[in-house]
Amino acid sequence: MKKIILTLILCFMLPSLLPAKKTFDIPAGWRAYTLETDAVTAQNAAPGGRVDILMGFDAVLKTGGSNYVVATILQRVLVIDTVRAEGKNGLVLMLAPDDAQYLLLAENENIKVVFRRPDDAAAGPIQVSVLSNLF
Amino acid sequence: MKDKIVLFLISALFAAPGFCGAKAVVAAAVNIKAGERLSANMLKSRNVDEGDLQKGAAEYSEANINKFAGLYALVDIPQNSQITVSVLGGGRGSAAAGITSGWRGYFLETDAATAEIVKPNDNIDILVFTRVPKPMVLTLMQKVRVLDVKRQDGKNYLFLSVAPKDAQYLYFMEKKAEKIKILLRSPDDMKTGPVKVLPADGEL
Repeated sequence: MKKIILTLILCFMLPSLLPAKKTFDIPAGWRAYTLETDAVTAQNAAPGGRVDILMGFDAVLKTGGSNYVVATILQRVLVIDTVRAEGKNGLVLMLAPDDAQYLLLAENENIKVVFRRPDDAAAGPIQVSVLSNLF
Repeated sequence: MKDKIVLFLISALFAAPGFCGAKAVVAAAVNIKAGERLSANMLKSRNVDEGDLQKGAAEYSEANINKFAGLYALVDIPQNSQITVSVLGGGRGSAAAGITSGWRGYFLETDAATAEIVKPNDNIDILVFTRVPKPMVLTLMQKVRVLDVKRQDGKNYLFLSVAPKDAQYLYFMEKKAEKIKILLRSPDDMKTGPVKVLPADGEL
């Protein structure tokens, strides 16, 4: 009898003794995406912050050859949290499923996260940067 | 005696808030206006029945209070309201509050000596030496405001306020240029203008 009671107590108490995993409030239709970043980006971001994602890649030209370009592929992405695990740093981003696919594609290239004001709601097309535009 | 202890433990267990269906969450101790920066004394613990818990409400803990203190309210938060992450904006540590609307905060890695002499609110010029499309030195940006200077994991960074398009060019050069040089300028020096590109292929 005592064994049963003790087992019951342990069953109830065990979950509270284990380290709790983070839970995220993800609205229906959205996804949480963990993006690995450098330490300075992850450790200086805060939940509720907003970021833009830049991507650098070799664009294939119609005339042949390729040009390195940088484009802003996502704007005003909500940071849900920051994570550090096994010595690596990352941001937990809230993304629409389509945008998650674009970001995964971009992760194969070079990615830069830039910060913006959380209350800066402006988002619009930004001309792609190519070297020839500088001169 | 042992039975009494066991019974006491069981009753204590069931009397715990979790079993009563109530949960202590972080709530607003005062009326908080949109844009206001949160401090620990603006937050309090509030017991909420399981059924009244808002989605994303934060459990009351010292860690969560510390996490929220320093963030900014994105909307008006009435007194006693449950605090959820979605109504707060990054502030503490993120330096996001220092960024002007329409601009971006950019972490640019730099050398220790530069990080030593540059301070927040300084203005800098950014020079690059690139071999693409041909060897040259060019002044990429002028009068860039430094929001912060950080040292992280043995590396030095300047947190710069840049226009979205300039953020793209800066990243372009981080990837393609051989060297990026930071020049400190006088805080009173407002002058900017075209600086001739310096060819570095013997065509001086």
